[in-house]
Amino acid sequence: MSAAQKLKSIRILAGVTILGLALTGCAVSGSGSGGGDAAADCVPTDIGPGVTDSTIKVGTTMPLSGSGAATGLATRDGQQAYYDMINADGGVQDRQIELIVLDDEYDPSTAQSRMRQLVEQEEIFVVSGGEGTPNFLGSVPYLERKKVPAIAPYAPSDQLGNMSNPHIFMAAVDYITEFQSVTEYILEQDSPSKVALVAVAGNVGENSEEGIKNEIGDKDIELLYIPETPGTTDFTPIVSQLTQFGAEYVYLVLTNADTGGLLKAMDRVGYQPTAVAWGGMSDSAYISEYGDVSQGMLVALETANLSAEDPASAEFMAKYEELTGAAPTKFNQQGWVQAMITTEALRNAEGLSRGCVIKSLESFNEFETGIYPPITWGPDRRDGVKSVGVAVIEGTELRVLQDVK
Amino acid sequence: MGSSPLGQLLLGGLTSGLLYALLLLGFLIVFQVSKTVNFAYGHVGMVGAFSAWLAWSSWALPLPIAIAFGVLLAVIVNSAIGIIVITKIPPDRPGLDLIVTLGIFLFLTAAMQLLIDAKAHAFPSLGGGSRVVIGGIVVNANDIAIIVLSLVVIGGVHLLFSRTTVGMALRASAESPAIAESAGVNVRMLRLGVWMVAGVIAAVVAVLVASRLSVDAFYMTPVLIKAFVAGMIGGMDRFFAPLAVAVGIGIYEALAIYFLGASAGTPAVFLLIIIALAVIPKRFTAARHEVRA
Repeated sequence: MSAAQKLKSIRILAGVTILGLALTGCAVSGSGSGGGDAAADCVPTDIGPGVTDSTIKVGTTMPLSGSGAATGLATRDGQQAYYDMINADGGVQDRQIELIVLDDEYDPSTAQSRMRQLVEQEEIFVVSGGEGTPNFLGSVPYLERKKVPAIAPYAPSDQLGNMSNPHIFMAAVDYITEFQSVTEYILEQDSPSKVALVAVAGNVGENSEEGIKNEIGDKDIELLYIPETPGTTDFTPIVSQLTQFGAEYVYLVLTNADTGGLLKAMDRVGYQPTAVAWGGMSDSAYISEYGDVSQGMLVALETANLSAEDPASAEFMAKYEELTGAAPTKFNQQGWVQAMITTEALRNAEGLSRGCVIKSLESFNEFETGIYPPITWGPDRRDGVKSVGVAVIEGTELRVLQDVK
Repeated sequence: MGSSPLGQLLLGGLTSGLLYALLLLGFLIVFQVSKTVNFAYGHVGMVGAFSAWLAWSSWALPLPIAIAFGVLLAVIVNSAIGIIVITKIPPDRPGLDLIVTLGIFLFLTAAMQLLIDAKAHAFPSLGGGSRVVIGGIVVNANDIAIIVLSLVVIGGVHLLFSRTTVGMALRASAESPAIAESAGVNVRMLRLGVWMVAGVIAAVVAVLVASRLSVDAFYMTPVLIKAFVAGMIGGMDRFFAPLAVAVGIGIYEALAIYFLGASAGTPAVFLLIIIALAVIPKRFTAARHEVRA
């Protein structure tokens, strides 16, 4: 074979490979199989999938690799620590809880595929939590078709927390509420004329924009919304748009890595507006990595601040450190409370069928976790929490400006 | 802060493009000397940069020493790929090197996640905080370092290949290893040297990219893909053409993101392949044939 023919072969093969890799990185929404077998009503004698005499299998998908891995890994660890504690105390309904978490790479199509694997191959009983909005939303149509309850996933979205998706029980506010609350705080303290939003394109960004707009109302404040794609390698175009616009406040709803990358790019050109971030940036793991470019950043507070001054937080921190040997981060805290809520639902269920778990969840009334505000669900309510606080990053700490109500 | 957003945009695109070009350079010298497509090349750099981060953050090594450590690791890994793996591939199996190095790509990703972790970490900015305004454009030390380093390395490699006896020996061994050996050229050592130099280049690029973004087990993949695209368009058996295309891709991508949004960046680059291969005359993209007396 001549060199030219070899080169041609290599080009063709390389082209196919690149296309394949590119397509695996693209979000392709798929449709799952139809049908479902979960009971709509609670029959106490029924036993659901994933339940044996000795175990109850729960699971979820989270980003365990890629740009969203920091939060997914920490949330998984938080859940596992809680379940380990519960299992050491005898479990729930005389059964040990087995947690299975699969990597969805923060990608909707991967999340749907993994969730299908969890439900159909692993046969999980319920979905215990979850982390990430676009990825989790990818699984929702499938979960609704299969009537599998999902308990307190961290997937802020206006598509969830309502009766359009009745099997998803939300304990995290959506981004509309979150950013409406944070903007309310900002406008009480200041009078900016221009604000900008850089957020993950899609539902996350649109909800965040809506929340900010709701609070701005008819005030004379310009808002620039720049959608972003996770894994961006060059933030200069975004920074150019921001500097040209001249925003005094820049809201950031991005992954840890992308938030850090954008703030670095802003620092390189000396652009220093007040940054405002979603609740994920209150995580100590983020602050320890990117704190030097995040000083003065306002962050939404969705959970109780991890501070020894708060008795409930102090108790959680001590317990977590005792179990794992490490101090908890915000996303460990998220995972912990997801497992706590799931355990409470299982504990209070009249029977171990999905219908009975749903009935148990609907009975939550001002359920105190010490981490989230009190949670209330009902037969026609799926948004368990409706408030958020505000904090600021100072040094390596978070100072609470407005507590979670 | 500068007053020329378009100029700032072009500078950002230029620096990104130069990073693509520098990575492509390492890719090209290996391909042109040993006719090997190393799809793990970007991850060789990742190993270097991620290890440098670990050495700096967890072992508290001074940053220059940590980076040197990372570069050394990248050299070892890349040399091992070239000498241990690639030499075992039969010459009559074209494309097998792509498959094998794709496997190494996956292996390195998994290995680094296992040895360090799967999270993204902040890498020092390397001069990102030192800036000056030139003609309304904010230029910082990181940008200048990338521009100067790229030009020096690209120029140096070109001179090496075209003006030195080593370069002549490299070209001879690429054309016909057997004849080169018979003429006294130590082909094996030359190829090892090329793989080692390519390892250095990969690590340096990876460190520079990490200084502008973050470092994790995956971050070099989009950089390698864009470098590879430039090579495919410009021709992997040429020198300046693919490097110029790489720089062009950086600027083009920046403009696409600015005018069409962040989600347009990657599709715009792939659209470029289709347009370029359809429009560019074949005589510019086909392998060159030298006439021998």
